[in-house]
Amino acid sequence: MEILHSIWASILSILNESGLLGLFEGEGWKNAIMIVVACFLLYLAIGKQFEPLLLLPIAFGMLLVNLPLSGVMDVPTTELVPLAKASATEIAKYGQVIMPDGQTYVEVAHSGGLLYYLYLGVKLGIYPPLIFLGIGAMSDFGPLIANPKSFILGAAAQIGIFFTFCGAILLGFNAKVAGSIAIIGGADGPTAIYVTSKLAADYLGPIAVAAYSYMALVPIIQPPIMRLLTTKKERAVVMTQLRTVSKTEKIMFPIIVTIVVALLLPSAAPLVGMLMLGNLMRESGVVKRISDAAQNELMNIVTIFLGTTVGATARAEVFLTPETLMIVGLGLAAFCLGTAFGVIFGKLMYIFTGGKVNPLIGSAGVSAVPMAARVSQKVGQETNPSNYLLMHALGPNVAGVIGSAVAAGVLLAVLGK
Amino acid sequence: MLTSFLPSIGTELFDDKGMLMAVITTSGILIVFVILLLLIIIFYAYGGIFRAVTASKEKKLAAQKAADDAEKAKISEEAVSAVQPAAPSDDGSIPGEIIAVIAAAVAAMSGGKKYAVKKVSRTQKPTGGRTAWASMGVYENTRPF
Repeated sequence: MEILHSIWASILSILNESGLLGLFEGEGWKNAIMIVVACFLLYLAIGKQFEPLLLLPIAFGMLLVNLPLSGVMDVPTTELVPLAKASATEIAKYGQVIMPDGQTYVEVAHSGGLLYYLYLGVKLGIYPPLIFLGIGAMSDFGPLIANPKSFILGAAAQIGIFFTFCGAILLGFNAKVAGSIAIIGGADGPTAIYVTSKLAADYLGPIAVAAYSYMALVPIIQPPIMRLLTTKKERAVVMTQLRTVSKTEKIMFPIIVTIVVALLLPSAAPLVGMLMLGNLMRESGVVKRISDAAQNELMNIVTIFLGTTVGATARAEVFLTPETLMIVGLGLAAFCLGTAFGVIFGKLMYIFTGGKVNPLIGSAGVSAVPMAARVSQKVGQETNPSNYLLMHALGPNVAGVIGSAVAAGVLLAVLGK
Repeated sequence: MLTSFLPSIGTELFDDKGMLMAVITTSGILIVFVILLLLIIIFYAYGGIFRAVTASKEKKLAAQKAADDAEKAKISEEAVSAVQPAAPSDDGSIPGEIIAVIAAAVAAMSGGKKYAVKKVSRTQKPTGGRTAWASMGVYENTRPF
């Protein structure tokens, strides 16, 4: 009988220490909701293939951190153990400390969770520039060099960021959080994470999830705005072929952009510099191995770390707040405004060039490479099936990446003080 | 640094929401446009220089090629006493060789029936100045997207 009692006591002890009980204690129900949200995001990533490369690790990080007692994001701590209670190993490992009260203690260190250490790459602003390195190595700036006017569309699509900043301020967010929310309008995940990690790290989870969700929803969000703001005649415009860009021009491009942007806006240097370094490695053709590594292995490894750790910031107490709903709403507004301003400037270019520019390419200025360019191509072909806007849209698309990095630099320079 | 032109952003500005929104929105849009406009100017100038250099090189190469061709033609005239005329074309705008290729393609598709190519004429180019072959090339290249 005593044996049975001991077995029952040990089972109860295990249950008491399990995470399962944590779901039913205090605010554990919030964790349960977050687990459901994480599973829904996993479904979107796997079942619907919405940006699966990022959404899958983000959702899994969210799942891990919301499992009670998982400890994956635990901060490293130290504990003062009186000398009498410390083990010989602890004394040998950590040494003795004499405190002002005259007592001798052993300062025992407890390690943090795995994702806490990986998260330092986000917190210190390391991962987003590394992602930009990979994006640069994968990008062809040829269409932008052939048609530099595309920079205008890349700039126009960033206007939404600054109007959304106003919206966030009016909704009661402080300036730093408002800047982090507004950058969602740049439709550039790494940029949003970089700015948020510098300005409002507590909001990283909701902002990253909103940014990547909208990037995945580009084909659904953009076309209605594009159709609404353009006439059938404008959408049918067939643009003339772009000139051929020489290799020397492509090599000079990243060097010139880096010098100009970093001199004028040093706070944008980490993002733009890495983007251009990746592109220089690609275009120079002399470091093919490194370029391949940046495009594949490095990009994949950093994506895993970035996605999982950003997801792990979405703890229930941070995520399940009315502010998250406001962030999601403001992010959508930022994205729609960016698309609209891109198309409006595309229309202006249509007018000033005497109908030579198809305004649909303006929507690609929100970056989200190459998805936004594909959307321009698709909407253009609805009106004229023989119209190929893809290469023309890639110009504003890559200009949007530079534009959003510049906008991020402005926000960091002004609000990061 | 461009942002040094901005008014100093102190806590007092953060307290005045209206001022904060006006300063951030105006200066942000302005700085983004200024930097990207500067890049437009630089890359237009830069593209112009490259095109001028390339055109000058091409001009030299073309002149060189013309001189070489003239010399080759002179040698050919001396070496060949009589040359067979090219296959006749309908209006002279399409080389005889092309007409022969078209006739062969028609023969291949006709399944052994007798045929006669009476007229070969150019169709209008599609809109955008892209030929069927160029369109096919673009289609092939953009299909993964």
